[in-house]
Amino acid sequence: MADAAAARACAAAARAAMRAQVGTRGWFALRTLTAGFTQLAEVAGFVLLVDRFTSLAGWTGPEVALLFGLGTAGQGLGQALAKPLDAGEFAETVRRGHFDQVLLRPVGPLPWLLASALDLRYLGRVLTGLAVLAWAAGRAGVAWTGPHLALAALSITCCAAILASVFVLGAALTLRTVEGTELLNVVTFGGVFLTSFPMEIYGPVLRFVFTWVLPFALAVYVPALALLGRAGTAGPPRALLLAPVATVALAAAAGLGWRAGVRRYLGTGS
Amino acid sequence: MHSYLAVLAAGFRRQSTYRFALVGGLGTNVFWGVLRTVVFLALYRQRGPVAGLTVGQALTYVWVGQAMFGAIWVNWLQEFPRSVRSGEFAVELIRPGDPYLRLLAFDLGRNLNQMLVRSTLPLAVAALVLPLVLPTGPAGVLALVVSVLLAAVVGFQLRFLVLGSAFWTADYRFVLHLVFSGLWLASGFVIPTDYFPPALRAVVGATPLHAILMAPFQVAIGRSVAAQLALQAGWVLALAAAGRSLLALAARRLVVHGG
Repeated sequence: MADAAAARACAAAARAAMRAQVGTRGWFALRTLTAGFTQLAEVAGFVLLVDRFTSLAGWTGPEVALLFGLGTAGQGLGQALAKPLDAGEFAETVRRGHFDQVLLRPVGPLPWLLASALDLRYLGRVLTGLAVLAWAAGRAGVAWTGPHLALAALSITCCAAILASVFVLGAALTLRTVEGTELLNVVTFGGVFLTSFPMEIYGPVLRFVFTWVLPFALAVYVPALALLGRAGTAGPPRALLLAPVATVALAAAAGLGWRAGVRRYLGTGS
Repeated sequence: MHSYLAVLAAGFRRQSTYRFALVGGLGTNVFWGVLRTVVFLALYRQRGPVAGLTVGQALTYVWVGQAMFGAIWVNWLQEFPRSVRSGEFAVELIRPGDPYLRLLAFDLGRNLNQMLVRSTLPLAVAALVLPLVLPTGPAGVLALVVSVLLAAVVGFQLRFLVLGSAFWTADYRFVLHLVFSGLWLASGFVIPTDYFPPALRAVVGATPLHAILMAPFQVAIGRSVAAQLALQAGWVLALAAAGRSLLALAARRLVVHGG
């Protein structure tokens, strides 16, 4: 019973957050549109670059853009869901004592935090990613069959979930240190940027970390290989089911980390 | 002149309070630099120069770019528009002296402090382990330092013009989002403009965006050094005129706001 009430409260908070953002329609549409502009500039730049060289480790410009598209859509979805846990923002929440208020509510702090700050503007980044994906797939000759669509959806969902899990882990860490650090960007946005290029170009250490510890490569690179019908020469195994398994494992670890962080949280004295 | 130097020194000291942020920024910066390095090494595998750039020059671009990133897209980007929105900025206008020069001096002071570690350290370490093309003689090093300083000044001036939109709209962040991606690509922060199609390269080369990254890069690899420095100095003067006009327009507007 209590769980159902908590779920209703979180749903109400999420609806309120969404209504507040959509309130001014014109601005909301413009902001949503611009949310993916930076990613678009990056894709445009790197496609120009790879075209100039004809290929990057055997991948053409559109093939690299396919990786960018999957990663950008996943990143946008992850940020829409978990932006309030982003290093800088969550540190501010903790420092100002706002997190203490969240703890006083009769709902789980994590669902409440996520629901009350759902940021729909990042869906613009998802749309940008999907547009890039559609363009790249057209150029690279990917046929959108049912299994291919399912694969792209799986890839984007896993990428978003990995990003959100790392945000949660970072937030759990921030509960201890209070100071957020830009360094966390390395494992979140850095991970997405890294998998925007074929894994063949990296050395064994980067490849291992971003496949088995932060499984961005399993979520983006491996499905992209299947979509493009490529054999990754030096990449991770092509077993597609590894992506959701690794994602769920990381999410579980993030959940445990979060619980430990909340249990030991001492407040900031403010 | 003396008072502006004092403001510059104050800016320098102000920035030293952000040591923790500096380490975080430095780590992130290096990581992105490593990824870009890997991309260029893979592109240039068994290849000669492309678009007139050798692999060493391309890697020099990567690390000059990482060095300039924090100096152009500074951490305190939002402080100026926020002070406009809150009305605090009005204080700047009643202080003695030229407000534009004072803002520039303070910004440059903070930037110098930050660049001292955040820009020079990654570039120096990269130069030790990678075949970068950097000036070796004192004249070349001096030219690079001057070019980087001019780029930092132009960076302030461009930020001032873009964020000055806060005088007219409370939603300055939207303006920033709208134009940032264009500035980011056209100034060469994604890839060197050398790899752009020639027509596009000519267009962006004729804008002040050239002065914030591509000019210091050209100076670093020793290409038409004097011309690049002259171009940067020209943009500093032109943008100062533009910035002052904006401030004069805004000053009238701000009085209405506060009254």
